[in-house]
Amino acid sequence: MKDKKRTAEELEKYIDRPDSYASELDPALERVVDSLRHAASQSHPRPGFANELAQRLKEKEQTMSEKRFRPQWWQVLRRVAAGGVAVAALLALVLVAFGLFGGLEPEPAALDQEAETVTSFETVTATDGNFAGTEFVLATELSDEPEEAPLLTVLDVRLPRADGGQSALAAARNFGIADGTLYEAPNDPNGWIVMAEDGRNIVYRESDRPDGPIADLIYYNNPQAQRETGEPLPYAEAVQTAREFLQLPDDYEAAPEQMVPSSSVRTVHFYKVFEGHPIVGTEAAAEIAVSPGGQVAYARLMPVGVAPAGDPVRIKSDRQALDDLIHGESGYSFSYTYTASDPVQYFTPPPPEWEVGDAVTVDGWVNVLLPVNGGEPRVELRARDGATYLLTGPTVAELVDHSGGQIRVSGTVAEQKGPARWDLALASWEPLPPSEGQSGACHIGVFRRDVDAATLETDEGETYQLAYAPPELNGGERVEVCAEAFPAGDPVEWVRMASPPASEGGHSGSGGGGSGSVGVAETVVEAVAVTRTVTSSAGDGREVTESVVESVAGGEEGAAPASPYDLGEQVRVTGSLAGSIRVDGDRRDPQLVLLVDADEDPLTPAVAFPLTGDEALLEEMAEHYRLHLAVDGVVVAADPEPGGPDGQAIRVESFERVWPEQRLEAFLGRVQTETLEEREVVVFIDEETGQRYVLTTHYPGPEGEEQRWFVTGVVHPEETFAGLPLLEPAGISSGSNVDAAESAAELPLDKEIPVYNAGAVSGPPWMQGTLVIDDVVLGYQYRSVPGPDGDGEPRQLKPAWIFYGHNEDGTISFTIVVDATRSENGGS
Amino acid sequence: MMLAGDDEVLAKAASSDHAAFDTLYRRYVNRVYRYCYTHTHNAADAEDLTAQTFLAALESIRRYRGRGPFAAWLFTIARHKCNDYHRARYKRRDEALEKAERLPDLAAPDLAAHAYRQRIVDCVQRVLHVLSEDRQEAIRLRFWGGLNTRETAKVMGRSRAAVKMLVSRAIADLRERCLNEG
Repeated sequence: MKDKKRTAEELEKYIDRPDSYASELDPALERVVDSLRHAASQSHPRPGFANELAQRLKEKEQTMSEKRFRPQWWQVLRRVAAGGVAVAALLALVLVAFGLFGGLEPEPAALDQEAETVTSFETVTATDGNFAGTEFVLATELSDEPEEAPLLTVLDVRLPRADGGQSALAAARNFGIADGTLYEAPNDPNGWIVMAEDGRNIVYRESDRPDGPIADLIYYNNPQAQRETGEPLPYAEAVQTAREFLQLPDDYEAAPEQMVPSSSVRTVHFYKVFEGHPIVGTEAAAEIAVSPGGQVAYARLMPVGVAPAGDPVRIKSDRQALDDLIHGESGYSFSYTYTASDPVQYFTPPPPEWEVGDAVTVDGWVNVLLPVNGGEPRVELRARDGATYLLTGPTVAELVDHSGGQIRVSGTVAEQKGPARWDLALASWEPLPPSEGQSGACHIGVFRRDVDAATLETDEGETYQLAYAPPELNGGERVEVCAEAFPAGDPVEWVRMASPPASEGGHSGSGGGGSGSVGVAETVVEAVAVTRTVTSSAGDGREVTESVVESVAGGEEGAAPASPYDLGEQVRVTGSLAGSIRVDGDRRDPQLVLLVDADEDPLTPAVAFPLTGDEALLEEMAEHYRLHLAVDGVVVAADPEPGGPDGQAIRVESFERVWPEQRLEAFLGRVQTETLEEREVVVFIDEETGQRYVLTTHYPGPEGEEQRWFVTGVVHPEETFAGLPLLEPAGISSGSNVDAAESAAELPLDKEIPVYNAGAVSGPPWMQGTLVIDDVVLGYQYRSVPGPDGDGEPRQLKPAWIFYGHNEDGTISFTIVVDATRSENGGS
Repeated sequence: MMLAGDDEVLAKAASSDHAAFDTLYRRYVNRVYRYCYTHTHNAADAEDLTAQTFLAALESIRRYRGRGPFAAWLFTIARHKCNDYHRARYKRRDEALEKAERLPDLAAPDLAAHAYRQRIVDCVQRVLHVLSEDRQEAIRLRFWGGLNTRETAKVMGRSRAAVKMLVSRAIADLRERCLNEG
């Protein structure tokens, strides 16, 4: 136990001070920490987001200071949430944006005769939705074909299960590694590595997840090709090279060129094609990097399998899909690639030039692979400068327990196996203290080039001579130089240089670098936009300053419970009604969900079943907002998003109140977090009666104990917890109006289901201006990894129109995917 | 150079001085975004949650009394927002590109090192999701949120010792599953 505590203490110090703390940690743990740090650093908001939000905050602050109400969309959402719909209402809107309420979504209304239509122009300006104001230029032909397409089920296609690694060997042969040695993938019982003599290798990994094939992967690496420098291949050549190398079947096609090559390699994505329609998605199929010399340097493959799911469904034309998009009537997702205007260039020192027989001492990471069939381990050292050394000799087995750590080796160069790749006869070795193995420090300053030397003048006023100078770098440039040490008077053996410093020059945070290769920093961002709506009907002018509101379905955190029902099953389901009415012109669209308790624990989150059916019946149900209803109906298919109630909705046939006397009530009081029956719960104390209730949510939690809260909700007539009645909150708010109220009766009790007027807010700046649509194809968007709460359910893909294009100055290329299914199919 | 406690001083000033709030916002926006992103794996949702977090913080800043770290106060709001998101996910089924943001890091010409490191990073991100919720959250707050142990403990409502152990066990789990492959 003491060891565990000490490890925890050491980890804390290492996490907080990785560069300065000389830890006694297992180097493998340090490596995990470094990987986590790197993983965290890979998430960046898109450019412009911070400024956009800053502007929103400024406007919000002005609004608050002026004490005026402006129905900006987020304020409206809060107000509505306080009234009792919170996230449910917002999500209902989102659901509608993606057409997930099945039959609830009416056919798109006839276009305004004065509005521009897609069919009669080459340029059209979007009128609504996130693209409002954006000018689309059609550089491709639209058509009305086809009229139907199948839904697809993602098959559980896994790699051939390796029998003692034999399947991995077979796969390696397909990659040209005919005589590879089979190794265990360290710490991965489902993985194998096949390594060729020259270092080419594959990592063959079977999924250990129960919820799909996503983690069945093959990585291929060709270290020699990865070190090539030069002009990247033309895209078409890279596609051809990749296709030939991978021997991809005909039902895979390359994605259109979207990425400006950021380094010497050219990256190509291949998508599986089903009956002529690509299945797009960042993780689908294959990603291949081709070197300037035409070799595949890196590949990542994932098997993708699909099959038709039932009869074909009617779909929109691409004209209609675009029309819906520009009128804000369709959900969509987009991805885009942009090229930074202020790129960061990375450099590494040139590889060492050893002669056979040289006695050398090198620091680096040691990597040990154990052969599956016994025999000598394969021990490789990767030096900080990128060079690799295959260690040989009778003592290499000593390093097995140090795999992943940093060591210093001494030995004799036995053979050169390629650029920056040697065999080294090991003479001795020693573990390196982590603080020595890390890049010791980085300094920012100005690079100076003289006739005989290069120097760094740091911002702190120090001057260091540099052991090497990238030939591409001009004197006077701002740089960040990292080295294990900055000795005074001696040349600095730097390991990484960036110009300009990443903190000053754009958004690419990538490290590494290479011998003289100059790349344009580039970031691929994929994101999803939803059509948000605003309403003015909720803007009654009352001042509400609630801070945070809570979902109606609270309880324990974790995965959403799965539906206990089968498709087509006739059910009688009891739950409370939530949702909203979306109004767009004359159209009223009830978007209802029934919050169904999935088990007997009153504190677990409810499953929110979307409700479909006769519109009049749904309108009638909406009158019982927040109350418990018993619904008779049939379980029907809905979108199979992971985390949903098994991709199900309930088509309502009839309903009735469970407890006719039940009503929505309002309370004023305070909360406190308590532990009851070994569960941490939030207890609400009604200040008017002193009654204590257990809230079916964790919010507001301990942070809210000092505030006064206005809670609306229903008291469960039968359920209790720890002897206390359960209060199911519909809305929780605090603020000046709550503080000022003398009783709950003074505050509004929103018994009516909220009504939203359709509208939209502007999207990010890149979506404005002019966007050129180069091509449009009918395809599918691959459903990627289930999230943290992945439910393991089979995933279904809907037909979608995929619009490829670029912005006016060519700095952004984009893909917009629009749901192609019609409303009667559950589409938008 | 910022002094210790500078955030807290700014936060107290922020109720009447938007410039102070803006300074705090600039200081934390990327960290909050990253934290939200690792909850959502979706850039648009991460942006939305980040916006919700700061808007809520702006509305509530006058109630911040400086009795705890500002970072912990802010991330408590962010955590609530992210928890809302998770609770709601089963109701929300937009056509998300789940692994929405990718930084291929190909600007680094040393592709071998990149590939090796990226495999471990891929594994860490993938395996993180199968850890217990507490361990996940501790890792998210420490690495993606950039909080120290004290702040993380405050946000999670746990003791510092408990957070240290959560982080330590999570990292040990990740080591067992990910390290040293390939």
